[in-house]
Amino acid sequence: MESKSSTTGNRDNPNRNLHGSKTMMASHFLRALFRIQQTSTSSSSAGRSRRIRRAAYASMAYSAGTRRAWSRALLRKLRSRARLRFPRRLSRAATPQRRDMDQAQVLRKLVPGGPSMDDCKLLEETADYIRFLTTQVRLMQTVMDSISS
Amino acid sequence: MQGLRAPPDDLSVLERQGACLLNWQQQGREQSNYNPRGGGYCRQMQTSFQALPSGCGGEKNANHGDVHGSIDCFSNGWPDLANIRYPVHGAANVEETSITNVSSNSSRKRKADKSPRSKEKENGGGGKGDSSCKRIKEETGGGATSETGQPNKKEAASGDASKKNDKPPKTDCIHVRARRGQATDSHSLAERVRRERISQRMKYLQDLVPGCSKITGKAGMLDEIINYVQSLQRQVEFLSMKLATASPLMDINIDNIFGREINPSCKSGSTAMIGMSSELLDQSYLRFDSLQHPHPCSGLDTFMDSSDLVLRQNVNPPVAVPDASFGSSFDVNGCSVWSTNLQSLYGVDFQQGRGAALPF
Repeated sequence: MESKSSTTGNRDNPNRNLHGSKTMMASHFLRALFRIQQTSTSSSSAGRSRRIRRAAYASMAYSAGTRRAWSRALLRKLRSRARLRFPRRLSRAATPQRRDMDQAQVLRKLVPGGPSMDDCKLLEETADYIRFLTTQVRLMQTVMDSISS
Repeated sequence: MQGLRAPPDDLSVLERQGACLLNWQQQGREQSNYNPRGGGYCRQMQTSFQALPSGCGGEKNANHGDVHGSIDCFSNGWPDLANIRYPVHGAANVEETSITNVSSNSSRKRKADKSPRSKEKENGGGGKGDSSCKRIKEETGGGATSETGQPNKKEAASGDASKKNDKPPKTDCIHVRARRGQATDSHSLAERVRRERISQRMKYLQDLVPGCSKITGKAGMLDEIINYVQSLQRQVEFLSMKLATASPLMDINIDNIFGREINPSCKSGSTAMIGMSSELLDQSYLRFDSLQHPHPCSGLDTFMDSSDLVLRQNVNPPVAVPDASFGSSFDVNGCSVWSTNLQSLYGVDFQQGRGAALPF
């Protein structure tokens, strides 16, 4: 149901324009949102927010495809039905001291698929992850704004 | 090698190499891989070198520690070339420079420049001897070995350096050029490659993370990056909580729209809606600049700037959305609810999502 050129555009375009993946992301997320609406009208809002969050990461990973290590790791995590655990706040142990070596470790924990990457790949994946994260956040904010206006 | 033949002895070495290069180019153009070139080159080198007193006979010619092959990326295509050591003599200065030139110009992209370059090499001489030209170009070590202290090498190195400065690295192979006064063994070269890559990526991340332009240094940048990723993830959580609590409102709007989606006869409507979403994203993506603090209204401001808030429903979609396959039948009723919500967010003119190209 996604527009065809969204996927092909992504692969053909050497500049990796995010445009096609944005479309995919939006459609996937909105559909997931709708499904969550329909199926969990009675459940708590906490459960719903968890599902919405999961849907957000899922749409990120689906639109990124399998080209990226972080999206592959994310898809693996989603498919295994594991509870999506994200570092919600700075872990207390890491906050007091952060040396150079720890920073890479902290980053590895943040980026999905991080532990199995070397530093160079880690930075590359982080950049891509940040791009998709920002797009996802903007999408969610847009949806938020549109339903609250 | 088809086009290559042993050059006659009466030709000068340089001319022979010019011939080499020409043959090379022809071959390179026919075939896209390096193998024939590498093999042919080696053979040429050997025949040319026979005239030289040092009598370098083979590829593993251990020589005055000069041109030390460290072309890792050519390891499959140029196995011989990687180990070639060029003899250095007083007389062979000029030849060596051109040889190192030739070897260093092994990049595909610079094929066309090879023969003129080799000629101009001798004239160029020590133009920019202090090779501060740190290209990401792995050399046969021509410049790198200048530090070993032989005057012959110095000229070769400087010649190489001037050569390198002329030609921007256009290849996509990993080429590393050793700086003057730096160690040139393969380990440090690899380290340098790695560091170059990391700094490239750090620069890209600097552009990506807002507010990092003043921060220099890896540690500070990494801190910022970590903070940014964490803040983004927190925003996702926060927004999902908000969406969860605000979702009862959504039912009214989305039901109608997604009702279209379920209905197979009206695919165009749903794709139109998705096209709209992509347009929204384009706008938000382009104009959203205050992402650091979770401010839900900041995005809204940018959307409200357009006074012309008409959502085109029956018309062809704007040209700016080429990838949304809009159908001509766009159900007005079903989408009107959505459109009233989106009207405030819709600008008539929006740009395509500009894709920041990842340099790697």
